[in-house]
Amino acid sequence: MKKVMQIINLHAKIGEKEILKGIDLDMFEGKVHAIMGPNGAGKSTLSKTIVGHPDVEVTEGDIIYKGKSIIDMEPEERALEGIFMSFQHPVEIPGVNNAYFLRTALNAKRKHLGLKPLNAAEFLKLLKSKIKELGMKEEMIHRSLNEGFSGGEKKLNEILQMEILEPDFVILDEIDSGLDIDALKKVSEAINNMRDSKRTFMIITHYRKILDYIEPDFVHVLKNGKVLKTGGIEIVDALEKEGYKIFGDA
Amino acid sequence: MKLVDINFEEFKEQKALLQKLKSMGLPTPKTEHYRYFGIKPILDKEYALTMPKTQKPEEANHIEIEDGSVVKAPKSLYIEMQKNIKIDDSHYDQIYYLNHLLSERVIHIECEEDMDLKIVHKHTLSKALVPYRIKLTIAAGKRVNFYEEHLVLAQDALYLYGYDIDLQENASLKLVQNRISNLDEFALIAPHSVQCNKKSNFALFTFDFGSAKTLHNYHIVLQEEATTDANHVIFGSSSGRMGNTFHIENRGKESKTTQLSRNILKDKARGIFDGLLIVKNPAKYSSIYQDSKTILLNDGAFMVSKPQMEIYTEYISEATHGSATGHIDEEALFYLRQRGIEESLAKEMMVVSFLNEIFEKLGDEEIKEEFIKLYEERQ
Repeated sequence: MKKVMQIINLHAKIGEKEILKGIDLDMFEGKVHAIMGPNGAGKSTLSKTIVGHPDVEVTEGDIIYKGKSIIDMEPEERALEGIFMSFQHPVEIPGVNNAYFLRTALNAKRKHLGLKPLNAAEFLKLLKSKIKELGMKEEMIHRSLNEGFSGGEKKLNEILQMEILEPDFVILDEIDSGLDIDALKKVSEAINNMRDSKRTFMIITHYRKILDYIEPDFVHVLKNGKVLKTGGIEIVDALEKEGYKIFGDA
Repeated sequence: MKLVDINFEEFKEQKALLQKLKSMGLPTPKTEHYRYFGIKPILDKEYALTMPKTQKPEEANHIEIEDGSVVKAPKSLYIEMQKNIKIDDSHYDQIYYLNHLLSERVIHIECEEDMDLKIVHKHTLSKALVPYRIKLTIAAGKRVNFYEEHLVLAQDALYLYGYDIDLQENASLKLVQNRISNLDEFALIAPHSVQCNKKSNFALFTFDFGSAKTLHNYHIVLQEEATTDANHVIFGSSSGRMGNTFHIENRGKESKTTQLSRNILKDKARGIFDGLLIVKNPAKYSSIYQDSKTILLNDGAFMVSKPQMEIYTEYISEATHGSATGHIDEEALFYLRQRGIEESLAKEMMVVSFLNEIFEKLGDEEIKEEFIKLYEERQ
């Protein structure tokens, strides 16, 4: 197995509060890593730290991605290197057209890869085919980014972005929150279709349900800003029965 | 000469104007609509008073006014230099009367047909005080689109100009004022008066881009079933001071006022939105709506936003106003950057999206492109 990301003794704070207190975690190419943990364990802070959110300050440690440190990279540089995060609460940006935003993002990536930008017609063709695949309404092309979208539509829009941008490392931060069973199935199906031997997924979740649809290769338990346990799906079974107390404190 | 040193006795033949100006006096830093503009240095500055010349305009497909003189005009258009026009005797701005006092003849443009017109103002005289005014009459039932732009070459100058607009019954005017100036020491004060007669419609779009000192003071009066839809964009940079102040009076029943103001300010720029919407007692079942929003791109920028309403009738259909000033939404910015869009482009997308409501309402891609170009130059 090839390591795609190596998190080494990562300490990070938001404001004055230290949230990550020495995370050590290896993630592998083509594998699905599920991150579980109680509220306040540091799951979302870990994802924010990987993508370079400006609220997070790394005080110690490193994140090595594809062999190089990304700690000092701007968020857009990390994105162009293939790191994508599906937001727990995708923001609404009135006035920014969904299609225009997606084409700008895709062409930024294509430029980074030394490819020709897609013109409006080429992009529209691609977008329409992806929308059809996901069973989304075509009218969302013309709407403002996430504006007035239902919770399910917002999450599907995140998946649509993932499909268009074809990232190498995908962080799904509570993609299952607020989804009904049908929407969860649809989102899971789309994620499974994206799985291949190269693409890595990091799924942050509180619930087993999504892991029934997207079978993880590894499950990591986070508590008090540290990784307490790494294993397979059996960890989820144990958590369901006993709760997080079985792993003690970090 | 300084504005404060004007000998008003020289204008004693214009009794009504003189009396009005004397009773109001010149504006001071405490005058409400000049309070945040910095009027004192302008009043105290030495300028050479330069009256516009009357000349025969060259034929062109647009109107060009150079330093207050009409130098180009379409042949088919009725334009004359007119004396003793009827003035708005309830304008709140002292400079309105001063501007008229100094502009013995006004440029009268009469639109008796539906038409699209472009007017270019060229301001070329440095260290000058140039006063002129335009009277615009739109005949009953006619539809006119009037696109105005300013070309500023004058340094250290003060230009006073403004419109007296008469929209006759059921007439419609869309006035687009595109005012770009990157000369820090150029000042323009423009008091306008707009009379909207029964069932007439006045749509106003103003775009103030740059770093000059400009203030537009509008007095708009709406009679029965008249509507006004006023939209303003300010993109101020450097030490620019740009503002729009308003008294919009709904005097007739079922009249309607809508006002949107969107402002982007950077460096030490100051924006002013001071709008008073008044619903008079006879204006039953009228509606008024006012919304001002501002993004400050850095800490030194400053916005004065004063949406105000005075309602003197118990029967009103709608009265809504709001104002918000803040910095760019960091979460939204991060969202765009996380998709690989570089920070400067992400900010530009957000700024343009903030103004989109007005750009889309106007439906003029050229002005939007002009804004984007200027925004990119200023980064």
